[in-house]
Amino acid sequence: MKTSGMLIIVMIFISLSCTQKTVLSEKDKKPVETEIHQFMTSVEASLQTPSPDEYFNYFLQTDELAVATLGQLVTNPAAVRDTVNKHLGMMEKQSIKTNVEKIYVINKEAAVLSAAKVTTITFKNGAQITMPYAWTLLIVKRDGKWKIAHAHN
Amino acid sequence: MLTINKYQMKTRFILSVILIVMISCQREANKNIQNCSVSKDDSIRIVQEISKTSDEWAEANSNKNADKAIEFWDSSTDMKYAENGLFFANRDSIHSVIKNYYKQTKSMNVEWLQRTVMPLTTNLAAMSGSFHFKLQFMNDEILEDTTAFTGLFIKNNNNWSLLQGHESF
Repeated sequence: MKTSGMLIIVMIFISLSCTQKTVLSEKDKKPVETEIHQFMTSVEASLQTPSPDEYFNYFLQTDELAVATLGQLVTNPAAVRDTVNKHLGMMEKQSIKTNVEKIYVINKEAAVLSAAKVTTITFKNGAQITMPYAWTLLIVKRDGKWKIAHAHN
Repeated sequence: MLTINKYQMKTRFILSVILIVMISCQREANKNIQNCSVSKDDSIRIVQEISKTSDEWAEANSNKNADKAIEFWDSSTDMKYAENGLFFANRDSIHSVIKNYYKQTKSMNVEWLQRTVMPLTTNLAAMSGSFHFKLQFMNDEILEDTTAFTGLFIKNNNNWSLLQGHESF
């Protein structure tokens, strides 16, 4: 009787263990969200300085990359680098304020971020503009590091 | 003195084997979460299904069928969609904008120029691409442009819909 009871308990554990988990629990999502927040803090710091090379290094440099801005879709990492250099090269500094931010965790290695932000850019010629923008990102983890796979603003 | 008979020995052996199986299964399940690998067959199927969903959306727009076009967007509160740097408040506001557009439109044509689907899990996939639209208003004024698109699709009840997306032109 004792052995049978043990066997039943073990069998229940087996069935639970062997169920393929495809959806993360809320508890499992929290550390991913924390990592994404930390990643985004670093990304924004590189934009505010601004540091084009550092910012570009946060992008996934493979053929999976897609960056869209103002109607233009750029999928070649070298072209993304040129765009980043061109845009950030004009700036003296930038300050970014996040109004709304939502992170949707896909799994431990992928998440999307949707954020409504306001930026104040000071250009090298002294001009300054403040404008709202939407920023949507697909962020994936590759070789233990988070990288931006898709970006749109 | 403690003695172990043959029956107990056999039971312990079986339990050990079961324990090893259990640990292996748990490790495999965790691996599935982390890698979330999608098989080649699943990837091909996902690409085909999302291409079909986005084709249907383009067709609905070309037919000025706002009620069909809105099916493209997921109805959950997780849905976020931005156009030209501004987020819509919700799915209903997207529906209103489309309906309003088509009330003022004589004809509309939407055509995908490029699409790249990245399957992430069996029920989530990202897509990037661009489409061309040509809209003729009632006063014959024409609005025509190429739009960049990025988004995340989710599969629920055998249907793909857009959970998060952004378009700009």
